[in-house]
Order: sequence, then structure tokens, then C-alpha cells
Amino acid sequence: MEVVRLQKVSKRYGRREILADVDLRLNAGELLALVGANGSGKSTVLRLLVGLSRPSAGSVQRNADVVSYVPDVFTSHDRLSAAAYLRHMGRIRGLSTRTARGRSLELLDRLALSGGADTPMRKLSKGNAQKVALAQALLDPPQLLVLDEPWAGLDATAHSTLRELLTETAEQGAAVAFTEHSAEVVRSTATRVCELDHGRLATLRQQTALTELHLTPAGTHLNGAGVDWERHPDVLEVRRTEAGVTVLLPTGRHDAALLTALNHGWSVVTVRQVKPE
Amino acid sequence: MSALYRYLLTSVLLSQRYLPPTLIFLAAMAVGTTSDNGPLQSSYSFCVLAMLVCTTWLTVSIVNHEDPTQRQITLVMIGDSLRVLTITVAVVITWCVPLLLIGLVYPIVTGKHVVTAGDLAVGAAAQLGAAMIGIAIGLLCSRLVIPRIGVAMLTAAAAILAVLLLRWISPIRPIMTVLSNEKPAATNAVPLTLLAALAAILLTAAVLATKVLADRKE
Repeated sequence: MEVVRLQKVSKRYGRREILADVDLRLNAGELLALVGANGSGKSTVLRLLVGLSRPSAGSVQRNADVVSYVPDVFTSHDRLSAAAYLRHMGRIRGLSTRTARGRSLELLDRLALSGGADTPMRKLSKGNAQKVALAQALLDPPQLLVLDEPWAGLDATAHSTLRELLTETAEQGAAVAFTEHSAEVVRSTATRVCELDHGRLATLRQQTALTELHLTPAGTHLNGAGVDWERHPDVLEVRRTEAGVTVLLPTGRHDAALLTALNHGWSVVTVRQVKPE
Repeated sequence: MSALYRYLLTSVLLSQRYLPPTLIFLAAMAVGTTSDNGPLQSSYSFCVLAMLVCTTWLTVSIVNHEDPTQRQITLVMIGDSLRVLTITVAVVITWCVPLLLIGLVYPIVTGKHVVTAGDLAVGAAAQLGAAMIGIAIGLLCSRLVIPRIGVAMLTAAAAILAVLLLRWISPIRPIMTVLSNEKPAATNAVPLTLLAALAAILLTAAVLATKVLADRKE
């Protein structure tokens, strides 16, 4: 299902043309990475996607009721605690106070907000403020999630948590778009990559990299570890070996499989990227 | 709608940004109306002036309080910039209510006046009108329209002077003239109600203009 579509979109600020004739479709379940140099127009595309900016020419069609946005820099001078702030954001989203509280604490716990949920917003470091910004975007499962350089300022542990959260959100049927400079992060997370060059959508490629996981079960029996890998979503191929199994799945979808393996007591022997034949 | 109103109200309450204009309003009341024993409506004429200046300041403080990135998040959540702006104005009006009560009661408590219900009603209409014009000026001088605070302050000062000095540019000067004419409240009620209604129309126009100008920046 198409969630958002930019059609022949151009954007000018005064005489300066930021975007020219951009055509972009974003479907449910997709993880789109926008890459490009500084000033290439990535953030402008994101702002157009969520409706913060209007195109100078062309049209933007959105088919999403719940839209979430994470800006590139999130600063707050609020004296509200992170938990209270998220409770308010949840209520604005239409959640009950109880649901908003539960969901915000769950997200903050998962993102490992240092200092705790009662830390005032204005005392949060850049990375922790970024975690709160991510949490507010995920309080109510969005249909369109747009993030501007969400990895910036996050610690290494939060990097993988964010990747998991984005993958889960896409798996729940949301269209996810983000900008990122790190090729490694893009490769491991996105299902599609668009490159912007001086305001033009220069290249468009489907992410074809695959990840191979070699896993060994905790128990003595190969099938006794509670996971049927053939039926696991996203797994393209399962090869049984003497010591365990080797599963092949699209890069960007492997976090969920790894989580499943670890939760069921499997050991991860190797994770490697392979180029498709 | 009410959730965003509660969030903005709580955020402003904790920020204490309402304190300077409120304290200045109290100080102005103390200087301008204490021990006044003339007609109550004349005292309210001074309150109109103080209300205009303080509500402009209060509006700029409250609108500028919200961080631009937080505003983007709120706009995406609500999906309608006019609705967000309307709720912000509702929060500003809420903070104007204490000023209005102080402006109505303080001259009575500290001066010697013959108080009638009509005088109170006329005073409320006049100060409400002034508050709405103050909010309108504050919105158009907020960060949503004028990003540089120095330029915004100068513009606000010029706008306040203009509405005070030029007779038909806003209802402020006519409101002050009507309050100072020493006629009974029953006579002044109709023109002041009409002037307050005109102030409400100007506030609505200011909200729409602010929305258009803020959206155009995007």
C-alpha cells in the first residue's frame, strides 16, 4: 500500500532551488534511506513527506492518519520530566494517560535513557534528548515514520535498539523514511536507498544485500530450541549444518531474527553480509 | 485538542515566563490606580493601557516559549497549523484571565470609587478588548512571524504606540476615550461591547495572518 507519494515535487527558497522534479513513492513496510551530501535536500524531502513544508511545484499525497517525525536536533527547555513530557505527547496522540505512561516507560526502558524517566527535559544530554524524541514518535504505532539523522548523538547500544525499533515499526506496516550518512547503518537497516544530488533524486536502488546468520541451538537437539526457522518471517533460506543452522535473510531484517535466536537460547556464531547471486 | 492545551498550559506554568508581564501589570496597577478616588471607569482606562502592553509581552513570551523543533513535532502530530495556533492563543487567553481579574478588582480595593455592576461589566469588556488587541500584536511579533527578537521588540513597541496614538487604527484609543467620558456605564456599554467585538475580529484576523506568514516560511 502506498503511504506517501511525491509527484514532480520542486522546492525553492527564494531564488535557490532545493529540490527539482522529485518523484518518490513510499510503501507500507518499507525502510527508505535518503542519502546524499550536506545540503543536497534530504531534510527538505523529509519535511515534505510529513507536511511540515509545502512544495513550490508538484504534489504530495499522504495516506496515513498517524504520522510521526523525529527532527535532526531535538532540544527542549521544558522543566517537565521525560516521562511527563511523553505522557503529554501520548495524550495528544489520543492515548489514555495510563496507556501513554506505560508505553513511554517501556520505550524509555528499551532505549536505556540514562538518568531515568524523571529527569527534566532541559537537563538531558543531546543523545538522551534524541532518545526521548524517538520515544515520542513511537508512542502510538505510526503509519508513516520520518526521522532526520536519528542515529546522530546516540550511543552504540542505542544504535542497535533504534535499528530494531525501525525494523519492527516497518514490520507492523508502517512506511519508514530516514536520512543517514553512515553507509554501514544504511546497508544494515534500509530496504531501499535513494540518493539525492543537488536536489535531484539521482539514483534509486533496491537494497539487495543479504545477511547470513550461522546459529547453534542451546539444546542437544537441533529442532529442540523452539524456533522453526523455515517459518520465520523474512528468512529466505535455511541450511542445516552439523552444528546448527545457517539462515539467509535480507539485510535490514536480520535484527528481528537475531533477537528471536537469542531469546530462544541460540548462540550466534557468525553474522556476515553476502552479495546476492 | 484539550491534551495539547493541557501540555502547553503546563509547560508555560513550569517555565514561569508569565511572571515578568504579570508583575509589571501589578506594578502598573499600583502606580496608576492606588488611592484613586475619581470615576471607576477612568481607572479602568489606565488598566486598558497596562493590559495592552502586558498581554503583548505575555503573548510573545508564551508563543516563543515553545522550542521550534518541538513545534514541528506538535504540528506533525496535530496535522493542522491553524489548530495548533488556536490552541496556543487559548493558552494565552487563559493567562490573561488573572490579569483581567486583577485589573477589575485592584482599583476597587485600593481606591475610593462608587462601584456598580455596570461599571464592572464595562471595565471587563474594555480590558478584554485591550487584551485581544495585545494578543494580536504579540502574535504578529512572535518568532512565528519575526524570528529576530530585537526586531520583534521594536516592532511590538511601534505597534503599541501606533494603536495608542492613531485614533482609528484599532479599538484601543476609542475604548480609552469612551471610558474617560464620565458617562454612566449603561450609556457606555453598547459602544464598548461593539469595540470589544471589533477587537475579537482583529484577533481572528491576526491569528489567520500569523498562520499564513508562519506557513509561508516553510
